[in-house]
Amino acid sequence: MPTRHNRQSRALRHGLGRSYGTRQPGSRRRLWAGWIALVLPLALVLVALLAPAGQAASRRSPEEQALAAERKAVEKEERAAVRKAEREERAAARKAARELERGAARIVSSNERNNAVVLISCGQVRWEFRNFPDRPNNTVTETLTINHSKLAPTTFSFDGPSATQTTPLNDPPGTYQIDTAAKWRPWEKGLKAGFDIHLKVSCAPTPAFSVEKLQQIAGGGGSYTTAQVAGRVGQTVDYEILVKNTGNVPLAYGGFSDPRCDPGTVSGGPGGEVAPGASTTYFCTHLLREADQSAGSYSNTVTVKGTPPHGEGFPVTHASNTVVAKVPSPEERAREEEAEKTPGEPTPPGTTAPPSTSGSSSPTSSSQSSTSSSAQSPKSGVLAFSAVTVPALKGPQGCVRGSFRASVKSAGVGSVTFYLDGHKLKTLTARNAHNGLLTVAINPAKLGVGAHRLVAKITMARIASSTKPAHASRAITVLRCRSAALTPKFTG
Amino acid sequence: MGLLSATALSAALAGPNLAAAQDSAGAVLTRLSDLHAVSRWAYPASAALIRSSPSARAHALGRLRFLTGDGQAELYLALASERLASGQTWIRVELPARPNGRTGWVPSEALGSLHAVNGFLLIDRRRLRATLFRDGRAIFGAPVGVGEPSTVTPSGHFYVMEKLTTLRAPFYGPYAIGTSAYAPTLSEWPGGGVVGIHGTDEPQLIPGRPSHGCIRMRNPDIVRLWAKIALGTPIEIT
Repeated sequence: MPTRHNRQSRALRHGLGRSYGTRQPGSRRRLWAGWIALVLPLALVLVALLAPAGQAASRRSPEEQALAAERKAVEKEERAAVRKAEREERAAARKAARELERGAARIVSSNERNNAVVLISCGQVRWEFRNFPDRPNNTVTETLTINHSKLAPTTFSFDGPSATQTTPLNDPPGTYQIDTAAKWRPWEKGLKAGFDIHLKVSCAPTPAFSVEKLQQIAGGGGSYTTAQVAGRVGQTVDYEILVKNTGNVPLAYGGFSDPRCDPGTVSGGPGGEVAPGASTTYFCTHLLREADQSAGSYSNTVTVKGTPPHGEGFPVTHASNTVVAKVPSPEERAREEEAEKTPGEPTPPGTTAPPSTSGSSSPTSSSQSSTSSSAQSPKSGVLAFSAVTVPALKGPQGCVRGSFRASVKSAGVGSVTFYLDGHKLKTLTARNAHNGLLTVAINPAKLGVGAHRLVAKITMARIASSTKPAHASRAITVLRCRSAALTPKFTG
Repeated sequence: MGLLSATALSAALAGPNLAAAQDSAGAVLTRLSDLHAVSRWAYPASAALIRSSPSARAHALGRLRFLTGDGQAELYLALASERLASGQTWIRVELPARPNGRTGWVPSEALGSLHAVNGFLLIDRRRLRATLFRDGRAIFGAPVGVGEPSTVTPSGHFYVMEKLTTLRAPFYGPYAIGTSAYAPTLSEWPGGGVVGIHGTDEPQLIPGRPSHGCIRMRNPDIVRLWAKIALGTPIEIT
């Protein structure tokens, strides 16, 4: 773009051309004078305009220059942050679009800064809070209304700038008006600190369920687990199959296929259809045999088919996880036990002395091991011993302040004698069994405060006339506590 | 709350929050408590040694105790379990002892049945507020008094050890809740310096920092909390 100075220069050059063309004497001096008269004021004006900026720059102190540089850096960072936020927003929008395409959920954001994003689907409402101040205990109050039925407000607290919370929904098929609202304390003046979003959601029938298989060694005193268990020939593996309806329509379970359970042992299951969110449990067992020991382990998986009502989706079939029961040979077991032998328990500094009445010195002294001592070291030719499972002693846990009962399952038991702190209480035989239990009632009124050892010495019934009855002890600790109405020793 | 049946326990153990992992040695580690949604605790079955790692050869840290300093049943928060390749299972427990925050391992046979609790109690020392969460929702909130600067209330993860009635001690209000936390500076206190949550006869000091480390509440608040909180509930003091 031509400047004023350039235009004037061009005009001057045209004038000069005309003058050179005339070639009149003395005219060159006049031309130079005109040139100077034109250019000099312009130069002076330019110098006058530029001088203050230059002088100001030269007058700045080093601190001011550093501040200016810092300000520039901050502005640069802010611009970068804005660009990043915009990128994230675009990515969130793309993600929302993808979700919408899949029909999985609808995402709606809240205020101008997207401090909250709500993802609404038939199965859940997911609340995402972000760009909050990076401080502990950001608190948000959430309110969920479904078809004009308002649920109790939820207070959600989180630390840091972002957090996610999920409210599960399990509505049957249909169309729902879902209103999600949240509010929080604004951390900036003028910031919209909340939202109220209405959305209509149409939920299709979705038959779905989960199936999980668990196992335990019968009488082992453990609990059902998906992890590997170890058993020996003659022991029984109890299986538990948990089936949960995770969809939004009732399901009738059929096609229950568990060929690795022993025939005729499958029990449990629902009486009819199972409602959404409800569970049912099947049980079955397997007796560990020599073949399992030869194989080293016994694994088991179950398959279940869930069928929804007519017109509400199609049947679904799922296989469970596989559980494995390890069946080591006696030699392997002996090696493992040898490897785990305790070298002797040192008395470390600062340890707490056990109660004198506990009568227990070993961590495993109260164990509810699955077989009797004779069964753990089977004698050759006495196969019946390895099949004996000694029941556990069941009693109260925690404090006892009134009369309580302790019992042993009577199945396979010949007799049981109960001892409390070494004092014999009672001997019961199979004829004393009631509801399949041999039970002793104990009044702790005369017991001192502390731990007391209750022992059941069990003699199993003979399996065959040629075998010796197996013996084993089971023990539990009974706690006699002080009254809970007292003056505590807290620091106050 | 309460005793978890074998079925429910197994289901919970296999849940997404309590995932199991198997290491190269074949040991299976399962998380039992996440300290927020589901946590598990147990009474001791024997005075077994507590080890620094899941091995009978590991360094001993102490023994399981049956009774608290106030003569109530002591309980242990079960954080994780590890099933060794040999089939033996160890459970990692939180130690209710000084110094705060220690954990150790005991054989599973040394503990009784696992009980499950849902939720946790959050004590915010900065905001001087207690909030009880269950199923992700705050079901109780109240202002509290915490330790003064010289006898500060310790921060960290603890749990409810005992629930007491304190009708004969107005200083503690009508109810008191024993925790597994110990006051860091009051080691010579009777009972070892256990931090409790209790009522008060000086409600005008709440919210504030008037205590020796305990968490004080106004009496109507401790009555409400007492009714809602279960034994073994994790406590997070921030």
